[in-house]
Amino acid sequence: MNTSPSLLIVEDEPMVAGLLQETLAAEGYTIKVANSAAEARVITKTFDPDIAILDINLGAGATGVDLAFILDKQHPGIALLILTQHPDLRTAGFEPSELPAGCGFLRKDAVLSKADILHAIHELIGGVSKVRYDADPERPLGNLTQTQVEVLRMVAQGYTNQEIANRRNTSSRAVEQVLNAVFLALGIETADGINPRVEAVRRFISAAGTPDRM
Amino acid sequence: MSPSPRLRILESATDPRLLQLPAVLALVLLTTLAHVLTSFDLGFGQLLIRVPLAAISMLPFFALLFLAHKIVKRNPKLQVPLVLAGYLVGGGLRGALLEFGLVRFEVIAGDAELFRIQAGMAIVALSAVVISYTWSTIQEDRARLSALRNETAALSDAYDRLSLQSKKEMRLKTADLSKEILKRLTAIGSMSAPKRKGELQELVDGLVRPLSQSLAREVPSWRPPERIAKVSLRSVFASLDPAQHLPPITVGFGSVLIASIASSFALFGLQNALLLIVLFTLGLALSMAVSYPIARRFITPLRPPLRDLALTLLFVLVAAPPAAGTWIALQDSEQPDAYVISTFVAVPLFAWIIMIGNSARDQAAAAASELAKTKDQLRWHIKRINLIAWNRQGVTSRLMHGPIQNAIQVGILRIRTLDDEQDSDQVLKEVVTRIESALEQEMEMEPADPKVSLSIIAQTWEGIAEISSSLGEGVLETVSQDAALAGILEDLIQEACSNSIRHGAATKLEITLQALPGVLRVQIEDNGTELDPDARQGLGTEFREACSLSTTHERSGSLNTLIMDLPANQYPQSGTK
Repeated sequence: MNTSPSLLIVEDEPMVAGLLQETLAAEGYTIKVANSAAEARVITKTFDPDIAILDINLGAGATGVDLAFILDKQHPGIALLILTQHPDLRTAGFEPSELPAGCGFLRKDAVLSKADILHAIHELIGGVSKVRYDADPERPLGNLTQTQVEVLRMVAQGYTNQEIANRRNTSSRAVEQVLNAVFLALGIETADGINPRVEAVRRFISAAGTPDRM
Repeated sequence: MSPSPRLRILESATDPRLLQLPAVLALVLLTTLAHVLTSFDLGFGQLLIRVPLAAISMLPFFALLFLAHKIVKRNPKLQVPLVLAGYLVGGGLRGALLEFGLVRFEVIAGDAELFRIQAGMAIVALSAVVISYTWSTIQEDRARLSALRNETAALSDAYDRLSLQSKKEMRLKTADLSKEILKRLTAIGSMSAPKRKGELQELVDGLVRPLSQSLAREVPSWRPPERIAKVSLRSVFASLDPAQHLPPITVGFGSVLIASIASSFALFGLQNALLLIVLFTLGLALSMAVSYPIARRFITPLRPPLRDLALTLLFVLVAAPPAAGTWIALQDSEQPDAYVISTFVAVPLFAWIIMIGNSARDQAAAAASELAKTKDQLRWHIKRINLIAWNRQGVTSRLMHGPIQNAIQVGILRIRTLDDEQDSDQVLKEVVTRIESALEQEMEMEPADPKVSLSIIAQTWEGIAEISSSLGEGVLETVSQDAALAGILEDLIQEACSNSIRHGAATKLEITLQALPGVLRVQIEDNGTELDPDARQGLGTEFREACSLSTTHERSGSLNTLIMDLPANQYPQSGTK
């Protein structure tokens, strides 16, 4: 009888999925790979994994956050790990509270070796401790508030202050104040010939990639 | 709920805008004219006293009206009854003050008489009603048009901005992008292994990520209408059409009739006054019945100023039979010609005021309809650009975040573990092949079939919520010919379902797609909790608002209904949009 932990990888990019599968299979895990949320649902009809590793952006259709919600409801006790390029959920347009309790969060760029991911899997399956990279205060943009991240994300999407104000039901003056606080929190000086707005967007894109939508 | 047409006329007739200077001057002029024309034995000396006295005696009327509107401001429901009462009482006061002044300055001899109070009530109140109606209608139309024009101008600016942005970013086509990436990768291939790692990372941070904001290629074209809608006094006169704008008896001539006979009871007794009413009405009805069809046929084709002269002449002719009626009715009195001149002046004057009001109303309605059409077209085009932009960026973003970036990241990870430069050459070749293959796949991708998309969504949420769907006639054709719409549709529906299920705890959802001219209507009904209007506006809401022509949420019983209208294919040139 096979007693090794079973694992579901949900990743729309076959290369990353393949790399993960190759790495973890060597550790004795029983692994199934799905490239979309819908495919994951089909697989889980006949496969009950101990842990699911989910990307947030799964292409067209449901997101990794949706799938985490579904798996948590449909497979009580399953361990969940979000593995993404985003430093936290806010830069992907979600609120941190949208993940099921106990769901782990790991940033792809922070995985420097096989041991990092194995450690996270072990911790989550054992329910020993929380793996929440997104709670690390040292993460990129980690010192920004929810509102500041949201406003910065909209700036990175190309919206003007007035448009952001319209969408947030506030004034452009209020948006300007939030942005000034963002520049301050990110340590961007306005006097050294750098446009602070461009610099803040550059840092956002560097940390979270281009926002998914216009 | 908008008020009924009758109530709207009454509201216009009692509008506070009567206190605006042009309306005040018109009312003073009209009531002074009415007084002078109904005065007997007019001499130049009398005119010098009567004219300023008639004008000044309107002061209590305006003071009373000012007070009435102060009260109305606090209680708008009182507008019609209170202001109408104000017109009557103010008119009566004006009559009393005028009578007092005329006696005081010895313009008339003897004791004060009550008939001027009755006449004042009738003439002033009716003049106020007619002027208030015309003036407030014109002002209201101007305000409405101005708001529409501002809205259209803002939309036009937004359209220009979006088009420009799209055109600029069009240059960064995916094909160009892939060439640039491949060129850089070839250059990196010739570098030493340690340098390659840094260069590859630079390629991701400096080129791939920023360029993932590639936008639409197909921006729909739109041209503003050649004629800009405008309402001016000149255009009102120019478009004046006797076939449509001649005043109806109930509005215009009825008021002249009542105003003319108001004082006749007091001056000439009941019998004469009743005869006057009968003969005036008969004369007026006869002259209108004969002259209006002639005017519609023969004056309509004329051009100004000939048309205006002909119309004035027509109104003078129309006034002749009722004026003759007053003369016949008052034959046995001392003043049989008491109302002859006033009828000849008042009939054309009132007729012109009402005709101008009617023409202005039609002009404003035509301009408003033209502007509303332009606004609709602009909104449709802007939403269409947004939809294409979201879709293109979604595709580009998926390519960048997915295959391209991951191919490079995997390359970096592999190179990190290699010592041999020969092996890293192989890794680079693999990276290039994977990127080429991903781009090729994307180019060859067919628009998603909505039936398949809906079935995938239902399958994803199976066990959590039951999702059923139905597609109306023409939906498959509309979506299959529109790659941008097909791309956006699945994301929008998935986002809405996710929202209802995760945040509203919905367990049953029904999706209906309907093809309308230029529009694909998406309706999602769910049994979840009521949408919280104060909830944070997420990415999905932004997405929805940017791409849909309209989005409505309704709560009925225990069901939520979300309706989104998405711009599809071409803007409908005609039809039901």
